[in-house]
Amino acid sequence: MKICFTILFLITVMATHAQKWEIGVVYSPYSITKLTFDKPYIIFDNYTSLIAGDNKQHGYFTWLSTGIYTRYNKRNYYAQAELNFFENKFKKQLPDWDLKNNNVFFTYSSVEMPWIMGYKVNPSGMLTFHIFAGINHKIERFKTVFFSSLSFTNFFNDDYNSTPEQNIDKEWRDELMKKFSPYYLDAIAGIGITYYGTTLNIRYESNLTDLNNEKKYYNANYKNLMMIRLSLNIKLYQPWKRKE
Amino acid sequence: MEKKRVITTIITLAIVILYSCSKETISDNFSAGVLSTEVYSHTLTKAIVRVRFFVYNATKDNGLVRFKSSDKLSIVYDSLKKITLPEQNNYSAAFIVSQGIDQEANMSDYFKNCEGIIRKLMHTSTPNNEIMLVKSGNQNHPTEILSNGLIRDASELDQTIADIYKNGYYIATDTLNLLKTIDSTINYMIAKASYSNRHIFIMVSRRKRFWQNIAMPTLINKAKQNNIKIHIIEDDYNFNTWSNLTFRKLLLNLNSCNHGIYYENAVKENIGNIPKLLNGGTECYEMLLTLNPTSYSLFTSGKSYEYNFTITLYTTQEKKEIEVPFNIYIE
Repeated sequence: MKICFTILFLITVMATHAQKWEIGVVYSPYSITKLTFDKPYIIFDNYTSLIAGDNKQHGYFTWLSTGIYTRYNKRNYYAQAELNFFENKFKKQLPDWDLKNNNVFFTYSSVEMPWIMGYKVNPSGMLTFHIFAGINHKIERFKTVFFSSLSFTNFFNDDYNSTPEQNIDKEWRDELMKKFSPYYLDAIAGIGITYYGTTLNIRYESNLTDLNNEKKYYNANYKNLMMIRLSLNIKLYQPWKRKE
Repeated sequence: MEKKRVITTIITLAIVILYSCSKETISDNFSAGVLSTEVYSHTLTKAIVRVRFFVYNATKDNGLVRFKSSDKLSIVYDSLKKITLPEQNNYSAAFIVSQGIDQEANMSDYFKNCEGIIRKLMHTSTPNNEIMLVKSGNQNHPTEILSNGLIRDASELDQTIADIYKNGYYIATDTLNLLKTIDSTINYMIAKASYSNRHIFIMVSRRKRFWQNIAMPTLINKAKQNNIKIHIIEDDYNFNTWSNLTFRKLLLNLNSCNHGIYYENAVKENIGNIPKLLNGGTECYEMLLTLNPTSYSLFTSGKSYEYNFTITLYTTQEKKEIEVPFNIYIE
């Protein structure tokens, strides 16, 4: 019942401010990440270890990262909320990871909810420039190979029928993923341009809250995650907009 | 000195794996060793001996394999049974690793395995028992105690061990002075160990050139006098180029609780059972044997004799024979 009232309220608000609302899709096909640790070696539950990161930035294609957004515009300002499915990739961050199974590497997906406030430099122009800042809620951790193989992290029960050498990649990957907190908050800042209904953003993100699910004193914990990502916002339509 | 006459008698124990549907291989996943030998009685031509040994097969979930004995024994075999070891006190253990590991080829897999073995052994030893980590130096590096003395939280050493095995495997041409390191470690343990149940684990990480220069019997005797057992842990099963007759002979001679314990093929999945064996209260195998000397030898007081027995592990896919040497000492 509460949800119904909330939806009704939102529809009423949007209808009232019809000209100022827009919705669309978000696509983030590329990101550059840098993940650092607080100790030199990651120790795993199976008594093996890996060198913890190379402190370098690496670029990844994140083809599956998509979502939807809604934006409220008012003069030079706008507020935007998104709901995205995003691929977090860190494969190259662990250089001594000698992969035996290429299907398994250090990557996971999460749901994210960015809340952004922006300022348009030239709101009436055909090509508008804007700057923005905000926060991004990163929620949960999912394994991703293809969409069909998504499974919730809390229900991981892999049948490790492969050899121990192949299992170790999965064990490492799963453990590294579970080291991430199921919720953390990123700070966002960026710039972008809008041409008609399409917006191209370059977004910088860095974690505000602790990345670790559980900090261990003698093990390498996640220290900082920096990300620069390319995102494309495509306005689909403004359903409540009156004809001019 | 009368030449020691070694009589090798093969006792075949057929160990049948009940889980016959397994597709896993035995070859790289077993660990075996002799825990103790005791001569109950002897004459010039006969000795009644009790041998306790363990065999673990990591391809099985339950650790100890199930078996039935074979009657294909070349010497008189009196009994073979699974027993529960008597409870022992907690123990104090020192782990000795090397500064610089002798490497000439790409053997990163070998070192990864060594790292996992020693880490697991440390973690499964603590917190009930106390451990310490000692790095053996060379002519330019003194022996270092890398832990804060004897500790009960193995996690404290995780980063240190990783550092040694990820950065230590350069080609080392110097002669490592392990003898002094072990000697120092023995002295340290005599002074600081909380328990009278004391052990020193040595990770084999050097090749024959180094080991041949070690007066190990002298050292073993000193350890024995101070109630310290020395364990040689080797993981060269897949690296036979490291094997050397003299080297192996030395290690095999240790394979008795009269001297020390040598673990053949220290598989990481099995090594976690070792602390249970040292603490007691866990299962192992015990056999009673009647040994006969060869026709040209009689049992003589004050001498050691070496024997072998063979354990045969079976699955439906393969058969693996493990030769386990042991010594008896005639008082």
